[in-house]
Formats: sequence, C-alpha cells, structure tokens
Amino acid sequence: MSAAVLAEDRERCVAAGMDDFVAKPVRPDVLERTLNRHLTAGTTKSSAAAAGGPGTDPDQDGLPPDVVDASRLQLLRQLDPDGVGGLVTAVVGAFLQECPTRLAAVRAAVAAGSGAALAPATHELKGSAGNLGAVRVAAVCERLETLGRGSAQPGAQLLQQLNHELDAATGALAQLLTAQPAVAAAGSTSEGRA
Amino acid sequence: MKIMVADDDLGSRLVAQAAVRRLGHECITAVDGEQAWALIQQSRPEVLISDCDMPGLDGITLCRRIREHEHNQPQGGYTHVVLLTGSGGPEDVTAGMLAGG
Repeated sequence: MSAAVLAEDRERCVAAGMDDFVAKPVRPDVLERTLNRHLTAGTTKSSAAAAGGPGTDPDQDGLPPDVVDASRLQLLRQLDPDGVGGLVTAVVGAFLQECPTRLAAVRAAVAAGSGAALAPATHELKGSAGNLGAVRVAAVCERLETLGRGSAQPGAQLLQQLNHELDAATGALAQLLTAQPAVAAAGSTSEGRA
Repeated sequence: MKIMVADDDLGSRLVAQAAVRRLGHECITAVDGEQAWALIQQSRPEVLISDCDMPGLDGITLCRRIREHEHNQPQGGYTHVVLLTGSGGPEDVTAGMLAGG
C-alpha cells in the first residue's frame, strides 16, 4: 500500500477521535503497551506516542521466505488460555473454512474487471492470512490490493500465484492442526489435506 | 476493566479477545459496527478496540459516533478508542495526534 494512502487513512482515524492505533496482525505485546499508555496515563493524549513497531516487514520485492511465519503461530500458542492449542485450532479452522469464499470473491472481482471489488476482497484475505502468519499469501494479496486501489487489472500470473500460495499455506496449516496432540485428544473434526 | 473488541473477521477477533483476556480484562466482542454501538451503550466499556474496515458501520465512523455521543452527554464517561489498521509505520499518526491533541 502506498504511503500516501496509509497517511490519508491515519488522518481520517485521528480526525474521527481515536486515541491510538495498532497495526494488524495484532501482536499481544503491542496491544498491551498501547492499552497501558492510555489507561494509566489518564487523559494525557500527548503522552500517547505511537504503538511500538507494527512488527511487519517493509514492502519487499520478493515474497517472504516462509509459507507460514512460525513466530506468529508461536505467539498464538502463547496467547492460549488453556495452553493446549485451542486458540490456534480455532483461528486456523476459521481461516480454512473462510478461504474458499474469500478466494472466490477475489476471482470474481478479477473476472469482472472491478478494482473497487478487488481491493476490499484482497484486503480481507490479506488480514486473515496475516493473522495466522501466512505471510506469502498476505504479500501477494497486498500486490493485488494495490492494483485494485489503482484500478489496474492484475495479470493472470498474479492470480495464479495467489492460488499457489494459498494452496501451500492451507496445506501447511491443515498439517499443523492434525499434528497438534491436543487436536487428537479433543476429537477435532478438522480435515487434513492429503 | 471492560474492553470491547469489534472485528468482522473471526480469526482476528479471537486473537484480540485472547490478548485482552490474558491481560486480565473482561472482554465483550462484536462482529460489526452496529452491534458494537449497541453493546457500547448497553455495557459502557472503558476501551473499544475496533477494526477500521468493517461492512456497514466501519471503525472510523463508529469512533466518530462515539465522540459525538460523548459530546452530547459528557457525564456518560469516555471510551478510549484503539483502531486496528493495515500494516504500516506509525510515525505519521504520531505527528497527526500531537498536532491535533
């Protein structure tokens, strides 16, 4: 996303009266620092320096090396209240379930030649992929989203790349679910990929 | 403390809720802006953590509505609003907030 688009979005947020922002995917430590800044410092808005480090890499020419960012998943595991992987299972399950619909929306937008539909469709998929550390999927979505916002048409190759990365990510995530001992113990019905 | 999380994406909502609970706060969730607005009036959370991009009533418009309501009813208390945004640097918003704050 261009810096100009981001700055514009942020200005709108400030003008609307927000106290602070946290970049997605949400990191618990960043969220905690942000909350503490506002809740312990009273109403001193000027003390609200920006949330430390969104934790995402700047735009790269190539895609990130890992299909799934292990550190993001580790974060989710640490966040789990029971410590048996229920949160990861739920979040991965939600992603796997919603993937076909989200991909269909992107395809439909490309087929219709609609940048106005492509941008939000890819933005959504980017968000949910990033939440799970599917960073290559998120990176391809970012490219598609930029094209959509600029009303440019993505080439067939980019859509193919999205398909490919999504296959790789869903495969890796599904494998992860079946590998978790807690999943077997809980009798989960999530399907693994052959 | 009572904290509301509003996000139409289930995965994001689960993660934010888990983070809030882990900090020891009570967490109320909403799947969109309209539900968030209704629940805010009902339960008066101290903090709203909301996604910007939600269908219908989006995070920014929701924030604006909250501030208007507070302006009209100053005795009703203040809801701290933290918006969840797409990836990017925080430097520009710091400048904006200091300028406007």
